[in-house]
Amino acid sequence: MSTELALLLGLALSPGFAKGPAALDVLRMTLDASEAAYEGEIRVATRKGSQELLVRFSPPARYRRQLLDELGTPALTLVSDGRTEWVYDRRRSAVWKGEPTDPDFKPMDPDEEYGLLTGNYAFALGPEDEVADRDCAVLEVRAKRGSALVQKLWVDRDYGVVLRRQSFGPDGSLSNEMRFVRVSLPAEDAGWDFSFRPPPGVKVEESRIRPDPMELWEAAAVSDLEPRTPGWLPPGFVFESVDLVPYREATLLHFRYTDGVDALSLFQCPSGLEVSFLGAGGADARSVRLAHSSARLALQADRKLLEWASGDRFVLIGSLGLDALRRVADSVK
Amino acid sequence: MRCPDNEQWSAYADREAEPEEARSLEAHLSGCEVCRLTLRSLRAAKRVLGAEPVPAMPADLRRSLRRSIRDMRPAPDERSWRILLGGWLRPAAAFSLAAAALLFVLWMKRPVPRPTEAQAVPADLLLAAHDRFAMTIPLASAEVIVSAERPLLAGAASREEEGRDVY
Repeated sequence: MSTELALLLGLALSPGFAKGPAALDVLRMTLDASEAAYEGEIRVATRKGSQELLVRFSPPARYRRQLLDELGTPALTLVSDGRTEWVYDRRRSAVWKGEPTDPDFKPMDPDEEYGLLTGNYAFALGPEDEVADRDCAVLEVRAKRGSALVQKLWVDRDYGVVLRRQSFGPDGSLSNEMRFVRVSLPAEDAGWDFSFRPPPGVKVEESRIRPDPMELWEAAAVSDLEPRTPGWLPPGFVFESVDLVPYREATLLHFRYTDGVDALSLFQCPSGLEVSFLGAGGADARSVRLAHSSARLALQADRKLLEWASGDRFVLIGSLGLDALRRVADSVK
Repeated sequence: MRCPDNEQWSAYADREAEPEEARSLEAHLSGCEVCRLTLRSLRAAKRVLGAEPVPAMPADLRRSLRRSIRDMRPAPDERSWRILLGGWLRPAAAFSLAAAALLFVLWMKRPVPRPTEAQAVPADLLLAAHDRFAMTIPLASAEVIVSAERPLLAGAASREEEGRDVY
């Protein structure tokens, strides 16, 4: 793919090539998983501060991501050999084993996702730039409604890997940024080890979350809950799938919505099941009014959690504004 | 390439396939929508069954399900016809699978007990599920999500202290 990408980018960046289609070609390549192995060091900056990660990737889907603490020691490690993912939280001395996140395991196929993205967002190329000594095409992503800049992506010209990404909030301010400060691309996967051996004495648990996206009718057939979904969604958002989340003897429904860039989750829990905000911004939770009831609102990083009861209990999670979340909540019948 | 049979997909879903076979199945999966649907239905069915012993499926239902899945698989030279027909066969095949899967799921359905006393599901579990979903969004940054550190992406409340899940 690297030759193909280089050719496309060459065309895209040539003076005679139309700007729109070239940007979309870069987008297409960005959406594909890298076919080249790479390893490097990433800095992630959010409003709360910055953190560093070590990453190693080998196609098609093997990876090791290590979040470093202030001493440069891995505090959180995610390792996947493509079939099993291990999450090791050193500070909690805990290991979980489960299925890795698979971007391809979902009802929406790549063409549908591409259609959703290009329907909601406009893409344009900015001036070329360099990241970690590599030449990059710069892709600007703007919402078609309002034309606000949503993301800027620095895409490696040869391999299509996103080497830098800036995400912007609704007010146009920078909400987070990831950037390779060092990268080896392509890297020679000389026997990289993507297995994981739990440290002595650390108990391994099965992960509770095993994504199994399904259609509404499937969820209705296998759950005791009658699915209750919102009648209104923010412009551009569509239903993606519903998943089941087991918790003790109960099963929760997880309705998943997206506009191609943002994710919005609605959880439906059986009546009688409370939701504990402990550790999820609960200390700052406050009460807000909905049309027919009251709700609790908590902030967690860039996300908001809105929780209310209406027969069953519901929790809405997303980075949308509060008014939009309220409107979604009010429309759940 | 000929589509793998149900037993192969079942072994793959249970992670019992040999590594080489698993790689071959994954390669096939990337280019075959029918098998992606088959695997998804199998996984849904396995989730329903959970750890319960698997009862024998009635022979008629098993045959019906197999026939439905087999019928919707295009022969190699049929794919071009599907394209020429503008996807006419696709809805029919999807309907066939949907009907069979619905039958299968309904047959296996067992009631999920509602909680009998006040219980509290940790919001962290929901955040983890949300983050897992967010990581599948095309323009999501896995690194930014991981760096949020919480919730644990495994979403596992693994230990309990005084009846409360601890993360």
